[in-house]
Amino acid sequence: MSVSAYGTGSTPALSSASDVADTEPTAPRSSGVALLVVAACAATGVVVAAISFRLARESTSLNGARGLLWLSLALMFAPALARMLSRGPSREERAAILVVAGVAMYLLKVLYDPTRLGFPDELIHATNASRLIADGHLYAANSISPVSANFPGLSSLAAGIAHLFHLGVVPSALLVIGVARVVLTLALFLLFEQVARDARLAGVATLLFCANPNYLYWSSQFSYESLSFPLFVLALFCVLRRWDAPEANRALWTFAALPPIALITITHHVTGLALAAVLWVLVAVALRRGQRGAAPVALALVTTIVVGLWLAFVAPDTFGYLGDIFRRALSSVTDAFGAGGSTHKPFEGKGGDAAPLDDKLLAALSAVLAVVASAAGVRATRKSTWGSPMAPLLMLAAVASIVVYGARVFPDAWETANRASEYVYLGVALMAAVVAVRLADRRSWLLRALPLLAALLAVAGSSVSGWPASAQLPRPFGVDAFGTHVFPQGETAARWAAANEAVDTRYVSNDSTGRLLMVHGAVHVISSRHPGVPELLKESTLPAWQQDFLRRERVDRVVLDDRRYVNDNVIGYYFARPGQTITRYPPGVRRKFERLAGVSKVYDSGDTVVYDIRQWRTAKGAR
Amino acid sequence: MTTRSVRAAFLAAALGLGVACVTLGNGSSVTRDIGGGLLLAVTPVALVGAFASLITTQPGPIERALRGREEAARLGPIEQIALVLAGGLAFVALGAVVLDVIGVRLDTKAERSWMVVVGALSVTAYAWAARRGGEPVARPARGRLPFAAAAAVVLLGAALAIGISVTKPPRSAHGALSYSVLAMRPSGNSSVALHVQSFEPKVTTYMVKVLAGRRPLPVARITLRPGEEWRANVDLRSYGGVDQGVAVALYSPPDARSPYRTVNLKP
Repeated sequence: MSVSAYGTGSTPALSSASDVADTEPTAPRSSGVALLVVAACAATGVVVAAISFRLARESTSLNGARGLLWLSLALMFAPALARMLSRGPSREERAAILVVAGVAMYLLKVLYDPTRLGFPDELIHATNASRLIADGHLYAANSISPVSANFPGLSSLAAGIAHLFHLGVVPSALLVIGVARVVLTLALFLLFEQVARDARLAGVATLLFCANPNYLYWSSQFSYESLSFPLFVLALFCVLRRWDAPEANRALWTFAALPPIALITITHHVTGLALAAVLWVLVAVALRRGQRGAAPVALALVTTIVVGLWLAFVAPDTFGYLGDIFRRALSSVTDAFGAGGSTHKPFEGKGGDAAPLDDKLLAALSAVLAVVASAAGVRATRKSTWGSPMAPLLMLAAVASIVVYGARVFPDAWETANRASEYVYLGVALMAAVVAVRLADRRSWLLRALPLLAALLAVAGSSVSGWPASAQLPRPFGVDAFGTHVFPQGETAARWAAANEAVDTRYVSNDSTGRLLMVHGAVHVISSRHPGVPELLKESTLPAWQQDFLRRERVDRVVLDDRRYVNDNVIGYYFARPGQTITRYPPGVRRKFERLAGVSKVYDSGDTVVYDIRQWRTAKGAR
Repeated sequence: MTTRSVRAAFLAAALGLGVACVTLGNGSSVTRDIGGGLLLAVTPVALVGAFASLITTQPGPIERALRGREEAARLGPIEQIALVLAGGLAFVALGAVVLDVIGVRLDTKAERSWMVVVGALSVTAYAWAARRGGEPVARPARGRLPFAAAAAVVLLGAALAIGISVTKPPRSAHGALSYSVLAMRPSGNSSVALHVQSFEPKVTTYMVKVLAGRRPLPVARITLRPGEEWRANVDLRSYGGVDQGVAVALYSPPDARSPYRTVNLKP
């Protein structure tokens, strides 16, 4: 590659042209035509996705919608990858194409439900942002996810934009995550380029990162990790650039890494801890190599201190929260190998909707491709001349992807594995890119087409494995029917509660209706994530421990919904799909409350009812 | 963009920010909307102008103090954009934390708090750039790429607009979405507030039967169009008040035997 491929003529990482592998014999061309073609294809993909989503909301069969979704992904991804694999584009053109593809894929999530924040974590963070806008409290309590309230980075940005531009929470949130997506795309490109010293390889790796199972939906939602992960990547880039810079210029990169580190600290716990850990590993690598000046000791110290202080004084309950998640993950894996253990059925959501067979095959193929490409990439780069300290770490991450994919099978380990996906995919993407670029340089057209085909399959398959099958395509939320606008019963109940109940009313509810209650202003919601609540909402008996629970938690209202799928916090907010079989809880669940003296039924919409238990509870408490 | 044009753009934006600040401070909703609109227009100019002035001028004293002058001068547009976006996010969020620590309100009555953050960012960036002085940094020609990039933004924006218009709420009801709501809450000691809302597919006539203690009240017949609601305050003073217990049943003909919805207030 010529130095001009880096755009500005030189990069500090490459103190001389001899540092760069000579893989591009001709000067890169940037007429802009290719970028326009890629953008036109991506824009067409966005429109095709919108048509797919409309079909999914209205049709009884999802086959057409699913086909269009794959087509839209192909339109966004394939032309970009084809251009990225060629030697032609300049460094700036590669970055522009990557941003176009990344933003187009983010727009796919936006179009999933453009008028509201409807993904599970979005409702939690939208509540935090709404409270900040309404009350001005930066750390307003969040009863469903108390930990999230102690990390106001995301909510403060959404609130700031909402205030400054007089926008609602939804467009503000979409803007924040959209900007974060651009930062992620550029930061990935810069990081991979810094490791591999090859803009072409970095561009391909950045695009292949889209095959990470979380990329399409999970990492696009208005959630703290969607903001913190791009900053994590950018901070790592600054550290690597600092490492490679001349001694005299390192202070600038130390300085540049501080804003991302500060924002990560106030935004997301795991990302802060992960960054501190990686920085100390890099310090160890530098010391082992005898590169004392390159060791990011100051940044590792600063990160450890600010993250530690934040966790200790602002968010002390984080340790308990994370400990519980890791403990459950570990016991889930160990139990699975013991008597009575269970495994999670892959590609099946909590609502019980199984993915179609072709989706299952696609997802399995995607996982196999990621593992095979990682193995081949590690083998190919084992003895490479990459001098970057991140190279071995990324190889390790690629190997760890095998463990992460495996852990997805265990029910309580799924969440941990899912959250780890992005981090390990940094390695998978780079290793797979090495293989893809080598194949693309072969003479055989079949071998040259192979990376494109494999990458397409990987992206499509990972989108299946990264999100429940029942929610791959959107469901109807608001419906224009009978000359009016109809919301699902849970939303109507939440709106009724917001209009008629005191803000400090304490609710017990299933998880999805609970989140809707919170987003509409309820402060105290004990949802089915809380131990004991699932039994309370599903069983026909009200044993003493359940009564004690209601009294201890000073519950005022119990919200029941007969339909089992409503308890699923991914699809429970929506209308059932046409033709969907709706299984219900036994009628005894309602009767156990109705027969209690002092319990009144104050709201009834058929499937959703609200019981006022305050009178019963206070009488019970007085006894 | 020359240093002079950056400064001019920034000064215009700063003036707009000031006017918007004053307008928003006025309590009238109309002037607040005008202020909001003005802010929407000028804030991006202020921010972009401020950051552009950093990018397009020679490294200044702070970079020299950091001994990274050559490094800063060599930053390519990709690094600049990534760092500016991340820095912008970080400084606004950290600004919110600082405002909270010093006790400045961040709620709906405090647009100016946020403007302090944005304004301070703009002024700092501009002041920094002004200290640098000198001529703009010469940038290598980038061919038609900037135009293609701008066209790409327009294309994606148009696709988003078309996509949003396509994804408007579906009209198909599939016959499974209809329902009616019945709700009741005490309204003082001697009356209850009833609420019926229809999401049925056609105009529906309901019967509302109220039982206060064991005594029935006259049956109310109501007809609601889809989406329409009915609210009533039922006085129960002559029936012994709410303490006797109240049961309400909503019937939807033709099934007049079994209630369609029920609510109650137990004694």
